[in-house]
Amino acid sequence: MLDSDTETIRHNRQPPLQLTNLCAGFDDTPVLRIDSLEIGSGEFVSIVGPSGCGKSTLLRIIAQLLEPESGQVRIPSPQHRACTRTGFVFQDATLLPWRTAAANICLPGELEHVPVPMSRLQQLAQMIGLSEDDLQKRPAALSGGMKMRVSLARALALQPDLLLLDEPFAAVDDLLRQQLQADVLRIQKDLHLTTVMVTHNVAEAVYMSDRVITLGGTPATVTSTTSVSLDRSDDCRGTAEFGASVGTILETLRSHPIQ
Amino acid sequence: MTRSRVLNSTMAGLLPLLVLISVVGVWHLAIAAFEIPGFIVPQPKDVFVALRLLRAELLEATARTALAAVSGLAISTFIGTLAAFVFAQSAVIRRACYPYAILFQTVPIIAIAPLIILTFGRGFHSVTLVAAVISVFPIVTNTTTGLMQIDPQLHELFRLHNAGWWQTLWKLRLPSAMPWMISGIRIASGVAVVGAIVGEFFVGTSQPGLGAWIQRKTASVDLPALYATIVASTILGISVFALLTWAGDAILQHWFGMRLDGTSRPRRSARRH
Repeated sequence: MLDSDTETIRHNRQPPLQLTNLCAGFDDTPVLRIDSLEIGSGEFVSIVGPSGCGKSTLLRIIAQLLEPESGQVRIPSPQHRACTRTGFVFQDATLLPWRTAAANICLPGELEHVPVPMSRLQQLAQMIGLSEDDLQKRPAALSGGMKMRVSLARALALQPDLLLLDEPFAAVDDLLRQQLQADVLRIQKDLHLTTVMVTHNVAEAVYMSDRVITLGGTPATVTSTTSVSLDRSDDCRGTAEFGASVGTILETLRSHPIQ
Repeated sequence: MTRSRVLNSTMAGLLPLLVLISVVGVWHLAIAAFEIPGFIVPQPKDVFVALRLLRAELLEATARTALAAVSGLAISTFIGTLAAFVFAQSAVIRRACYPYAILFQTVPIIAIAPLIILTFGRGFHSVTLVAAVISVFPIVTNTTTGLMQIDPQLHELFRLHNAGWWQTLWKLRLPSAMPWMISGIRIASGVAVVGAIVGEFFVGTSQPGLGAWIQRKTASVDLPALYATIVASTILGISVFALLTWAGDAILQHWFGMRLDGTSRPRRSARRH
């Protein structure tokens, strides 16, 4: 689908992303401690935990936007290019208001001096569900859902090796959230894209992920890892298996509050 | 355009006119009711007569003052933007220099104008300098705020894609600061007109702008002409402010798809044939 076969083959042979003895904190107060965590190539991993436990900090450490106090983050180098490319979707769409949707999508390419060709732009628009007309609009003329789609297209513009999502659906309504979840999941599977998502929503994490990791306690540590194998259909949310997974993760979160 | 929108824009134009007519009416009635003599407050009709008789000279004086104000505003925009860029680069520079920027706002222009004229001599350049000094502060503060108040997530996005200092300035900081900068210039425009008039007031007849007219007509107690000069000054101030608001809105509409008040104007749809 959408010339993704080549991208799929590329990602299949990637070694896993590894975090070892990771420690992060603010003002000499340890906030996060991860002894060992591996995220396989093409895997969709969600991180859930109470507010302030360091979920977003962990995501920013993986993105190399924050330096950990100690420990190692080993991000595998791709075989096809010199360095790993990371796509990041923030909680808000964070679009530049003076640029059209198309120009916003092309921004990472401009910054990294890798022009995004028109064919790639059209491919992304088709993949994400944006019309030609939408691409020429400025963010002020787009709905909240469309803005998030542009933000997602921007994250995918440079064919990233790693996709990081920081509560990407927190600001949209339930119906739109379900549509966006299904779209992201379809794209992630099509591209076999290693994805790490931070979310408050346990049901969202269970629906979208191959594995759900819970953080809890002070400093926050990995308190559970739940593998999820669902058929990901629209009806799967009503199944007993789905409910049981959500219940187990919620129970883990309740038993490890942060101080 | 819908009927309610036409009605709203008509009302927006009519209401200030209605207030003006009411004020002139009350002015006229108050003079008649309290028997105020013409050498204290002139009749509105005398002011209109003075405006008609002196229109050529007043127009010339207004043009001189406008040129000084706009030149001063251009200087303050250049210097103010440059200062804001320096302030936005380092917290140390900001802490060291910001109190002196505030000085431009707090020192009364009435005290500093004669000082400038004594230092730089009488003439157009001194009037321009007074206008620049008084109007620089809003541009410095607004542009600095605009350059500093960038969404942290956008900063992270630029860092994620290894953006350099120049890329961040050109593609993020500068466009983000543009609405702030335009708003600062708009505020400064009205102040620059005041600065030019105050400057001319001290320079005197060597720069026969509106300020010199005010001084001359006050000395000769020619109240209708004095009031006519004040009307011309007011019209100049409003015109410069309106022109810059329009230009600012046009720039923001072009670049951001929104106006200074934060609203967006829908694009004109193509006519159906």
